[in-house]
Amino acid sequence: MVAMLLEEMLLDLGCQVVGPARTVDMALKTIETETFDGAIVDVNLRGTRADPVAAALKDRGLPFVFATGYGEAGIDDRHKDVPVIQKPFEITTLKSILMGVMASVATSR
Amino acid sequence: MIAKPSKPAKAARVRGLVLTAEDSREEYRRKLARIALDSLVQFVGLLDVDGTVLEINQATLDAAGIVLSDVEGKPFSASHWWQVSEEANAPLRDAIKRAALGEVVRWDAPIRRRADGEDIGILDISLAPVRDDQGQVVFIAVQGHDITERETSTRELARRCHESESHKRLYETVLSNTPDLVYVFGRDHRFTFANQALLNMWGRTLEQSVGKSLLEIGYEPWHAAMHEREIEQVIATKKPVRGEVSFPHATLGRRIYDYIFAPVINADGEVESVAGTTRDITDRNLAEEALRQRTAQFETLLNEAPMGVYLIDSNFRISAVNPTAKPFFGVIPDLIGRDFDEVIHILWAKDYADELVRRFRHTLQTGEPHITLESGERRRDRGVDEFYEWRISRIPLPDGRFGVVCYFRDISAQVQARKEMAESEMRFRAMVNASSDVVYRMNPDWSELLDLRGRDFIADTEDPSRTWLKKYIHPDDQTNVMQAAAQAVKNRSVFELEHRVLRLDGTVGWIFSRAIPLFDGDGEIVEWFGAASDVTGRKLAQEALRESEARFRLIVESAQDFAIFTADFEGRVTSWNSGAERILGYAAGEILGRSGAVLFTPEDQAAGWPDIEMRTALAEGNAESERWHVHKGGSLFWASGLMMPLRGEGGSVRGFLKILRDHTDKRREEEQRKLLLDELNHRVKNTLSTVQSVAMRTMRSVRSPMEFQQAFGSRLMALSQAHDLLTRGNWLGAELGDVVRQTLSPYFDRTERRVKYGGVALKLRPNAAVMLNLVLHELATNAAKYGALSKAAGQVSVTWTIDHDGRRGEAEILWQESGGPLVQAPSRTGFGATLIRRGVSEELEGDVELEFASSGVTCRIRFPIEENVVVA
Repeated sequence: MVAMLLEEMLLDLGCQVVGPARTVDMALKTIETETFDGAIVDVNLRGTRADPVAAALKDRGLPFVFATGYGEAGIDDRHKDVPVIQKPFEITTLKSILMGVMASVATSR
Repeated sequence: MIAKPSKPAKAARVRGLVLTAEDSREEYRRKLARIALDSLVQFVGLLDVDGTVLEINQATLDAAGIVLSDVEGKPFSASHWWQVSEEANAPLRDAIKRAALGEVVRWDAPIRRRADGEDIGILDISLAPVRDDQGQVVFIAVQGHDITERETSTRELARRCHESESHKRLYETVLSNTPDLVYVFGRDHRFTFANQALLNMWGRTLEQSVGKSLLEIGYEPWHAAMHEREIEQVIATKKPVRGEVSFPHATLGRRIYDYIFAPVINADGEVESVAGTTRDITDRNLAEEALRQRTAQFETLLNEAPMGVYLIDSNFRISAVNPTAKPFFGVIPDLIGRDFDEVIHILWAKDYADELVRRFRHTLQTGEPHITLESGERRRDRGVDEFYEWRISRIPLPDGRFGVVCYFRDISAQVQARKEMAESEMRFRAMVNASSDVVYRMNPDWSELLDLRGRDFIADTEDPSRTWLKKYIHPDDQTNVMQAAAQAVKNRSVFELEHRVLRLDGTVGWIFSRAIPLFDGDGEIVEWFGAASDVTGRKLAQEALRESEARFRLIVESAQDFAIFTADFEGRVTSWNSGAERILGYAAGEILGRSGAVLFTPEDQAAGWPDIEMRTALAEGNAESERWHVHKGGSLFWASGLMMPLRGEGGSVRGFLKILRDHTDKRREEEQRKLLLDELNHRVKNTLSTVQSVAMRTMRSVRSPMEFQQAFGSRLMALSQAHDLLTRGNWLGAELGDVVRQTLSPYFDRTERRVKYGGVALKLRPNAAVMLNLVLHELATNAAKYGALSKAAGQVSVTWTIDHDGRRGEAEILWQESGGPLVQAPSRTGFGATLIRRGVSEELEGDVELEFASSGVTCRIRFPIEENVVVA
């Protein structure tokens, strides 16, 4: 349902949505096979920490943000610089965070 | 005729009479006569012939304290200032009459005071007639002399003469009856008196004897001459002469006589006569002779006797001292004959000597013997203490008088030895007393207590006691005491025991008692000498300590939830309670002596925490900690700890006490709670996101706010109900049957024909439960709006199954509607269908077959068991 919400919001923001991936394995497969500009990673994917997903995205230099209901405490130390959007989501916050992430990636390229 | 004096007359004034030169000779003489008359100390007066008073001289008036007018003209015989006795009054009147007739009368008149009639004197009164020139008696001259004294003397003399006479008679009676011979010689050596005894001896009467000389009486010439010389000696010296003479008695044979001649001195101091007494001493002399012989034996005996003997004579002079007694008197010169009183005062101090002398005198006077078994004092002459046993008795001495004999024995050595013994014993006793509270003596087999000094601890006893056990020993210890005593008797060794006693004040006390056996020459036990100390205080303290320790141990041991152990300064474990064994896993034997550091994790050991805790405890008084500790098996447990320094007497630190409490469970609970709170937060936020998602989708599918309110409200309710179920199941999961029943319950009727459901027990995970709840809610809502539940005859059945292909199997829920209106497939895909498809695929990883058959909607939901079901 959360994925449905994000999908709806992203569509409202004019994004094309790839996914969602329900598990870490599906997410990694999606990263391998699909092409996209950024990702929203739920910290907890059906009870499994999404750290490998974050690592894979970082390896590829793809910008991403974490979505979580745990607050910042749930984020691994390696990803302290990754922006976090808190549940429940507000579309303006989602937009500004995504814009920020995309912009920083664009300038670093 | 008196010649006129050649010298001029004397001028004077006497009792109113004035003598002047102008006086005529006649007048001058008359005045002198008057003065003479008035000054006479005797009574002079002039009476009329009838006896009335005419004149009395002034001296008499003065002596009587009267004036002439008091008596003038009154009868002389009845004068109130003097009075003759009644018997004398008549003779006086008679005398006055005779004097008036011309006779000179002289008469002694007793006079007395008028008041009490006592005779006070005798007056020699003379009455002389005074004739006129014709020879006629005209006056009577009275003259009186006080002869009281002379008269008294005369009477006294007469009385004495009478007494003397009766004494003489008495003496004569006595002398006549005495066996002694009594006699008196005149200065001419002739007998003037001889008593009856002497007359009897002579065979003569007194008359035949008085005036005779000794020779005339029949004494032998030598005998008579001897006595006459002696009579002369007495007359010359005025002193008695004593002698002894032996001569044949007329009837008794030869006798021995003792005699004394004594002077009889008259008023002029001259020897008037010589009185003699003679006593027959024949028998006494024989007795004395016998005594002398006995005394000789006695003296021999005394001289050889081992005991000191000396004799005091009747004059209290030392008359004999035997050789043994001589050293007693020391170096007093000329001892024999010296005054005993004086000698004794040389030997002893005054008080002691006074008492001795008093004793001797008492015995000498009364004959009462005296014995002193022990008496002693410091010698004045020698300066040492000497002790004697002595006895004194009165004995007759050869001179016929009494003396005192004293027998004595010098016991100084024994007394000294005994004193030293006593002192030694006293010192010993003092020593024992100083170190003991009770001193006692027991008989050889301990059946009898001979003596006990309790020093206010337990009662004293002076008399031997057979009930001592009952009296002194606590009932519970009596057996112990008797066993220990029997053991000591058997082994002939020391008795030693700590036991309870009944104290003087009735309370129970503890003593440490020790007794040693005393042996006689044959090695037999004579008695036991014991001493005991009061150890009540120590004992009570020990007991209190023991109790306290036991209590403490009980507390420590029973504290199963606490590991309590002590460690020394180096941190080595010195004690270990059962709680410690339980919590830390080590048995006491395994850990004692090892360092307590093993209980810390390697990290904490490396950081020096064991030492830090000890230092903190020393510095702060205690050290608290919350840390992981290591169980013997290697597992970790969380513990709260408190370490304190253990202080000994005087406050010095002897080690440490550590108390640990296993708080692993508490920590787990805390962690669980934190986890739960985090999870709750997560879920709430997920739920809110779900609500957000549902609201957004619902909003986009409705045409009016009213429609939104209805659609959103019912979906929210479904979500809420799903949460209720999960809450009931502790958020661990919910039964699929419950989810189905709850979703469909609004449509149940009384016949229960409209809704049927059933399947295997399947406990859904929370996410699956929430999702399926929403999915089934969409289906039910749709059925109620357009399908089977919109018509009374319509029916819905929900069944679920699982295949039996192990864990990888799937569950299938089949939703079937029938009896409803004809179904038309929706013209577009609404949110309900989207929610059903995507919910199942994305949340359950399952798939959905939704068919809008004309007979009724069918929905087949499949999902993997592993991901969505709680496996029991």
